[in-house]
Amino acid sequence: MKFYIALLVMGLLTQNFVLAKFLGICPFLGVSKKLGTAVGMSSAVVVVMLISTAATYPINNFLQSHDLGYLQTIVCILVIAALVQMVEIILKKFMPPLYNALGIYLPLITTNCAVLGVVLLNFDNGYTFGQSMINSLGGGLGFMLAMVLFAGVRQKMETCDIPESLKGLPITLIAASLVSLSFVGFTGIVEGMGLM
Amino acid sequence: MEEKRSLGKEFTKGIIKENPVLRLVLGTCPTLAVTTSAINAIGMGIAATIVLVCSNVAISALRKVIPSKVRIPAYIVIIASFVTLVQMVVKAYVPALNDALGVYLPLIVVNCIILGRAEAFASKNPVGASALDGLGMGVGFTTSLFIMGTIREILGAGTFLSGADNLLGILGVTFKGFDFTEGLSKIGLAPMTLFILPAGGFFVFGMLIALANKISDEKGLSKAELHGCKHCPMASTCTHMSDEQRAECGMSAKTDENVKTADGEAGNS
Amino acid sequence: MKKFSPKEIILPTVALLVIGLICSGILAFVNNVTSPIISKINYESEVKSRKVVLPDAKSFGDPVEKDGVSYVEGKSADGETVGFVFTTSAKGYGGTISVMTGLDADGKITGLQILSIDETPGLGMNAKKESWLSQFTGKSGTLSVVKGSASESEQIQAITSATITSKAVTSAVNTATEFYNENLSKEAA
Repeated sequence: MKFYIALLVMGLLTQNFVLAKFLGICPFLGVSKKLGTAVGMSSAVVVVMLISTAATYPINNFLQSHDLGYLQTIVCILVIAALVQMVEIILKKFMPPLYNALGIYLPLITTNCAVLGVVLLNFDNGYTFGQSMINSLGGGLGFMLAMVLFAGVRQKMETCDIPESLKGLPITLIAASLVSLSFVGFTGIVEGMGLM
Repeated sequence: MEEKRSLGKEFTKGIIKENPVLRLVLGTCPTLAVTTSAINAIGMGIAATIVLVCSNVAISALRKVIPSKVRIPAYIVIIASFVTLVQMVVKAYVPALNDALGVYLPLIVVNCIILGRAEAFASKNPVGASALDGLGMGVGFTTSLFIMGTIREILGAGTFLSGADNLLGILGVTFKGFDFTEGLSKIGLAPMTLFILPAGGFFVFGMLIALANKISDEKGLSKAELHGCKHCPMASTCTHMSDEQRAECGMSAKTDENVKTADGEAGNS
Repeated sequence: MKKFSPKEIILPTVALLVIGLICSGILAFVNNVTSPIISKINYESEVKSRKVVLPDAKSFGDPVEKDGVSYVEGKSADGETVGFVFTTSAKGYGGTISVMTGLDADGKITGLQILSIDETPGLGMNAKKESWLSQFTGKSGTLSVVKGSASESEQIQAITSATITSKAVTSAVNTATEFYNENLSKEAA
């Protein structure tokens, strides 16, 4: 149990996917201008991460037991791409309100390295099914936290007077640097909570 | 002569004018993640360049065979295969680089530069031009990574090119890189660890883009901007976004043409 | 929804299938070529690390697995046991840290090597530095990690801002020494 909580806390705060592992930077910088889009995008990422982890775990077990480990990357990315399409079609057909909220972000997620990243990291660390799911949940929620926080920061920044050369992307990155630095403050939390 | 000049252009455009990292702002994840040392940056750059050139050549050669409806999955399969090939070769001959790059090596699959070039260039151009385009983009990517890695390593770790023997050991290089830490500690200084922490990565990247913007401003070129979905290879599949949402992501409004092709795709897959 | 003729469905499917088959075929071939090289490299680097952590040993026995600990016996030139080399692991900050520990016949640590580690560059990654690892050499018994300078012989000074990593490495070493004390030391035997 302790380990599961530790995984969640690490995913959310100390090993944040965006701010510490640099996974999913494109959507982090690209879709964080407005709070609404940030929430929509990151909810879609959480859902896809969980589904992909659940689907790829048995597939990877099969590959490993048949000495086909070298097909891991290719199989995982295809499974994720197919799953994303399937989720999109199912949502469109059966849950139109949810589709309208999340659906538009789904195609962008196939090439989001956070999803493939979490799947591969789960394999690398040899997590069990339960641990993999919790790690994915923590990673996804961490992504959401970073997106939402950063959307707030960017909205504040819009009214600021910024030097000409820094306008636009550079100041966004420097703001991201400060947000990332503030997360370093959580470093001791896993240890402090007595989880490790 | 005309032909030659344009081929040369395919190569050089990726290095400065359309530099994938500093001008098009693609492949940001590896740019930030592996540039904690100059040698890791070079290793990542070379691995991505090899994948880029090979996949560009393969996709260009097969461009008339691949049905357009399944082109994205087909590109992904081809790119993933080359990534796995590179991964196996790196594991077998440069194991230290595999350890250093870790999960970011297989993640070359989802590097937007590669799928982006496949979709934007290789699928429409002959093999030779595609190879040069891939090589140019790869060199541009590697150069930007090397600059980032150099700055972060010198400021953050007080070393330069450390681990060169690990990357180039197979060529008989035993050079271990420069270590300034001892000299620095004599005058009471220590490296600023901040720069190899994630925060330092964002900071250095931001400053480099600001510099690139400054220079392109003076030369009358456009600024590096967040293109949102404009350069995203999956953008063509986002047709169900409203025009407002598309504008938010930096895409042009819906046109009849891209709605049609993407509808076909979605219906088929 | 548009209707598709069979040809429109079958042709792309077949094309994708063929591309997939060709790609997996090439990968299988290259995997056959590189996998022996990879296992050879892994084996060689393991042998090299063993010699570093237990320099007195001239040859090594076969690896033994017991209770999740893997170890090999180190022998001197005339076949006498000079110590053991353990491979143990513990959860660090970024993932599992795998450590190779050399213990001499008295249970004293003769050397340490980090086999695999994925910690924060600049902080936890400093565990790989010889300057930190060397403080383990010569120690024995159950070690503990302290912040600041280590005053007692069973203490290990933590790496600055990387206490979890330091604790993980130390706990992997402790697993090895405990296993040694319970199963292999002169008292146990």
